Amino acid sequence: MKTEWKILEVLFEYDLHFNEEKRRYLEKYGNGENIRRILDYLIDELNISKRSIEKCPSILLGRVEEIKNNYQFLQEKQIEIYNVETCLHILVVNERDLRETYQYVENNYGVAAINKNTSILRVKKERIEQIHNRFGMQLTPETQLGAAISRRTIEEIEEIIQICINNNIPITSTAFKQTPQEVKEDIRIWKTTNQKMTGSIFHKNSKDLEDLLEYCREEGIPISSSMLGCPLENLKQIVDVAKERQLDIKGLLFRKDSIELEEIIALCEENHLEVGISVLNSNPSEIKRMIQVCDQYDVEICDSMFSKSATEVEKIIQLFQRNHVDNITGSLFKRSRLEIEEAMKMCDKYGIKKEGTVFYRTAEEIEEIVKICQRYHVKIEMTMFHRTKEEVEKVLEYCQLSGLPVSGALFIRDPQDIGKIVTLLKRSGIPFTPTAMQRSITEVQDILTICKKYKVEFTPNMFSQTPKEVEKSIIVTQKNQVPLTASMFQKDSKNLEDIITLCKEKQIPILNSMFFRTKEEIEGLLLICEEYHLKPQDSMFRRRPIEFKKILDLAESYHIPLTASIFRKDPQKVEDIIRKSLERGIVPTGSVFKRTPEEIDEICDISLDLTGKLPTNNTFLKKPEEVRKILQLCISNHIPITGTIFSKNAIELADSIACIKEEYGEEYLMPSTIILDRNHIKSVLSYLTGKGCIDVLHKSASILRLSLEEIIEREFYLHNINEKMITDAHTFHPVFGWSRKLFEKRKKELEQKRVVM
Amino acid sequence: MELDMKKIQELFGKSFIQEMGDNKETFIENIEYVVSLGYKDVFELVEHYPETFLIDSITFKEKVDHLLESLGVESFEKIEENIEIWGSINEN
Repeated sequence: MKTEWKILEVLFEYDLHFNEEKRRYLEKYGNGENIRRILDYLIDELNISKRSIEKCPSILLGRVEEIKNNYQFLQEKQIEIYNVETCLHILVVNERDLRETYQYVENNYGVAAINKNTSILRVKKERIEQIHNRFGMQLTPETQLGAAISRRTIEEIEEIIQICINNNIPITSTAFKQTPQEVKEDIRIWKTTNQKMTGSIFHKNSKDLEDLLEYCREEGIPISSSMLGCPLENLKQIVDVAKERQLDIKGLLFRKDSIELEEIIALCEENHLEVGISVLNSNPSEIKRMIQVCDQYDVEICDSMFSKSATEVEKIIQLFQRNHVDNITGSLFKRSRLEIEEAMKMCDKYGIKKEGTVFYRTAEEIEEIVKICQRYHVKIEMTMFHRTKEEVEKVLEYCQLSGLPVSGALFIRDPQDIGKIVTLLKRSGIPFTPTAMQRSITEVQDILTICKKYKVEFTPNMFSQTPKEVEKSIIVTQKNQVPLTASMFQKDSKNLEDIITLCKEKQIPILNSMFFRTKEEIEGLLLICEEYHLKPQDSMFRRRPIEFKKILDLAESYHIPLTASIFRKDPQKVEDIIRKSLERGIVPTGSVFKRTPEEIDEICDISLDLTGKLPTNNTFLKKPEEVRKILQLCISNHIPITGTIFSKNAIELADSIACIKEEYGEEYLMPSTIILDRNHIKSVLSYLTGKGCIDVLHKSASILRLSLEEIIEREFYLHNINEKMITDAHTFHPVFGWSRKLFEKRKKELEQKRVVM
Repeated sequence: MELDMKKIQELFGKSFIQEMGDNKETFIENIEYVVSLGYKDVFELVEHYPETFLIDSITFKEKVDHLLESLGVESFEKIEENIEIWGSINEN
């Protein structure tokens, strides 16, 4: 009685609640003082949740020293401590046995297996070994461990395996929860439901299974295999909670009991978190800790984080922040911290950016993919890490054979789809575009069909939307009588319609960049335009209202005229560019905003070094190295340096220069000639050489701005009016300087004259 | 009427088209400016002298204003008669 009272006192003090059966068990085998010491250690020192202790009362019957030693041992190892919390009974295993089992399982199954089946640590090494030797060929490693954890004898395990084989049921660990007789009964009962046979039925003995099916029939609830792991009493409570909260009664709700479920749902609602599968795998105290961690590190909380403990998530976030990984989102928590660390080392080794999809893969997989890329001489695309190494190799092999250029988009889809999509587009006369990989082959087909149906020109941007959305968008534009443009497909049809309606109301033209913004953002921008008496321009919609305002304020404070290019970058970068430009004596406008402050510095230095002058604004069209090459080309060929030369890249300029030099002479090297395409130069200069009038180019080179066909057409016109290509003043006839409009007019007049005559 | 991109590529090459794309906003701004001055056949100017439309908008406006002022009345008609006049914007 005294012992019983002491135990109850301790449990009360720690606010632990056990049902009568478990309480009696503790009272029979436990000692109040010992239990207190254990609880002090577990709750006060280790911060183990009370819920976990309530689920595992046997922990309270252990020896404190042994529990501490075992915990410390496991902490030193690579297993995740969160898993220990969910199976505390392993801490009361004999110390020597625990170490022996740990070693054996680590050597034969790996640390990941221990993390996944932590309860295995309570099983003696000999049993695991026996099962491994006897059933290694028939059972997967994970199922072997499940069988070892179960209470089945070796003979029972053998019988259960045979039953599953005879009934075509995949053999999973749950099969060993029941006796062979129960397994047979479960199969017989489940067959009456006409549902797909699943190993989950073995969560229940035959009576419980029958009771469950009866309850579901009475309540009119569709039976799902995820219910099978839930005790019927819990299930009934969960259904009540779900009905009360108007939640969809779907499988994932049956992983928790109703009290915990209520608590979890309340937490999710408070913190705007979706009640997802991973959240329900967690528990309320963990969820609270996770929310705390995410708040502390200013990271958006998401469902996938809950596959890990809050402590683990915190360590991973810290790891990411130490390694300057931006944009920490859900997908980054797929792997364990150890795997992420290894992956980061691999990224450092191969110079891969540490972001996003790379953390889908283990370090080994990353290295394999890098080596495959090296073998195929292709650049690494981050999307490659969506796929396994075999899939990456398949894609690259296909590209090599078919001549398709390798691009990141190819790795979004299943490799098998690539060839089919390429063929489909080819048959439709459409060149392959990587954006097609955003859609399945059926969707691609549907989109092409829709274009035909509505007689609209196909644009690759359509692949950003589903076929249904594409069709709706086309209907929206036709209904509103606005031309369909490629940028519209950045939005779904509803948002598109909202934007079109807004523009109509405000009587403003629909600008392409508007489709980067939400309707609310556009309204915000228009308000600012009104306030500043600005006409809405396309480039303004590249920025959010707050950024737009900041840039306007910057322009005002630095007395910079507003031009479209100023909205290229965010306000901070714009300010840095303005400051650098002013510092170097450059007017901050136009193509200057294409460059970084460092590039502006470099370009100024290069220009001063090579020409003795500051660069003109057009010089900033190109990056520093390109500027250097272009200037050196012009200087070495004695070509005057004007802004126009920076409209081409150095390779094409060099090509044109070489062509002119070799075939026509250096005297024809001028800014107006070298910016022309080499093939065009060749065709026109050859023609003019043939006509014996190439030297006239020195006086007037505007003829080069006509295509060869146009030159011949105008020459034919001159022939009809009996005039010559070259005037007496040895210049090209003015006809070669007429606008097309004027030429057509004069041609028509001539024809009319002839008709009259 | 549409801009003949095929012709521009034929005369000026691929890297020029790339440059046009990279500087779309300046291009459009300059085209709109010329249209706002009342010249509707701006595309022809673009097809003959596309590089002038890459000049930063402030400088472009200054040069265009200066050119039109120097041409006096019927300035656009004069440009139509000799489109090379427009090319003088290129000169520094």
